[in-house]
This record gives sequence, C-alpha cells and structure tokens, in this order.
Amino acid sequence: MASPRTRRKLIQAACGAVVGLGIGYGAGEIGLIDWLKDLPGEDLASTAVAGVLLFLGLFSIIAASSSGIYRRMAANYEAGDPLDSSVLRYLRVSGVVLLLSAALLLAPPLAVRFGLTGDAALPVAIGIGVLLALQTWLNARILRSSDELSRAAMAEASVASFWLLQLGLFGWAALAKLGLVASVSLWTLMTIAMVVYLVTSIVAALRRGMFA
Amino acid sequence: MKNRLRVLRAEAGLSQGDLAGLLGVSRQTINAVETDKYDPSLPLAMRMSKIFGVPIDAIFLDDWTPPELPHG
Repeated sequence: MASPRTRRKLIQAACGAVVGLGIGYGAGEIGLIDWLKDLPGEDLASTAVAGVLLFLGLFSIIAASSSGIYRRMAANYEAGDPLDSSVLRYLRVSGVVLLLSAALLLAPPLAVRFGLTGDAALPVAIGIGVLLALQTWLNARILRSSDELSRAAMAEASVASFWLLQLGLFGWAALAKLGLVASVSLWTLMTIAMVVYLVTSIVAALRRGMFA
Repeated sequence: MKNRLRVLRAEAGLSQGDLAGLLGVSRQTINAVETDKYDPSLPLAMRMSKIFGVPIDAIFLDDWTPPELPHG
C-alpha cells in the first residue's frame, strides 16, 4: 500500500499530466505547434529552454505571492522555517530574474521570425540591453542577499559549467578546425551554455540538499 | 565532515528553522550541515560553537591526526 506521501505525489503527477495534455492540445489548436515546427533547430532549443525558465519563474512568483501560498506550494518548506518577508522577496526577485532570462532568450529568435533584422532590429537590441542590465542588477542583489550555502552552490555550478563548456568548446573548435565537424552558430553555443548552467545549478543544489 | 549538530540542536530543543534564524542562514543550510552535505565556513562554525557553548571540535568531528614533527 502506497504511503500518503506517495499517493499525494501520484495524484499531483496525474494532475500535472492532465494539465500538460490540456496545454499541449490548446497549443496545437491555436497553431503554436506548427509555428514552432517552422523554427530553426537552435531557435527551437532556445525557445524550449525559455519555456522552462518561464514556468520556473511563474512558479516562484506565484509561490512567493503570500506566506500562506508559499507554505502550501514550496516542497521544501517545513513547519518552523523562518518565513519573513525577506524569504518571499528573495524568491520573488529570483522569479523575476528567471522571467527576464526567458524574455532575453525568446526575443532574438522571435524578432528574426517577425522579420526584424538589420536597422529594424535596433529597438529590439536596445530593449535586450535594458533587460540585460536589469537582470544583472537583480542577480547581484540575489548574490548579496544569499546565505553561504546558496553562494557555495552558485560557485560550484559556475566552476562546473565553465569546465564543461571550455572542454566542449575546445573539443568542438578543434574538430571544426580540422574540418571533421561543422561550425555552429553563436546562438547555438549560447543555448548550450544556458542548458549546461541550468543543469549544473540543479545538480549543485541537489548535492547540497537545497531542496530538502 | 561528520558533525554532532543535529544532536546538539535536539538537546537545546531547537528546530532547524529556530537555529537557522539564530545564525542568520536558511534552514536548508542547517539541514545540509546536519546531513554532511555542506561544511560551513569558519565564521558560521564559530557562531554555532557560541550558541551551543561548546568548542568547535565538539561539534565537528575530524579523525585526521597530524604527522609527527621532525625533531631537530
């Protein structure tokens, strides 16, 4: 017989599957799937990453919208956890950073898809610059207000992703120089860098028990 | 590094959240230390030692023994 915790997880998984099916069906009905299929592979990959960031950002902001909702939604919340406004503010700012990351990833491929290139893309480029500056400032705020465990996990993720990326970049660049593989675009490299950092961040947080 | 933080915390009647609040860190940090997933910084270890009123080596257990010093 499954434990109450397992039953709850199974019910949540079933609800998630139904919601996912609904979203997928809705996306198909409005033609989003066909639209996505026409995107180049690298744009599709960065759009998928942006989708994950968008979901995580919205989840963080909704979960941090009030202490009551946070207590219900945050899987790692335990009775007795200090839950003052700074905890919720930290999560909200993290959510905004994730949403900004999603917007930054979506903007260039979408602009190109809508024919905004060359001089016509200048306003988009300025907008991206402003969003990037805002995101950098918020990231600095997060780093300053983090405790030492979070900083350690961030540092580990940064080191691991740097090591993996420079290794991969060197390997690919050497093979491309030798004419053994095709060159890849900057956008593909950026998307790979984003995926590697996301994965190493999650692994670092798991290793340190931050979801406990 | 192995440690006795969970035992000391339980003896003091503190929850992970209580101790986190006293030390100014997150509950996840206390949990990570207790489960040997994170070795705290020296300043945090010293604050723990002050809170429980015991020396640091009564909280963190290290079985390393120094090599014998060469005699001159």
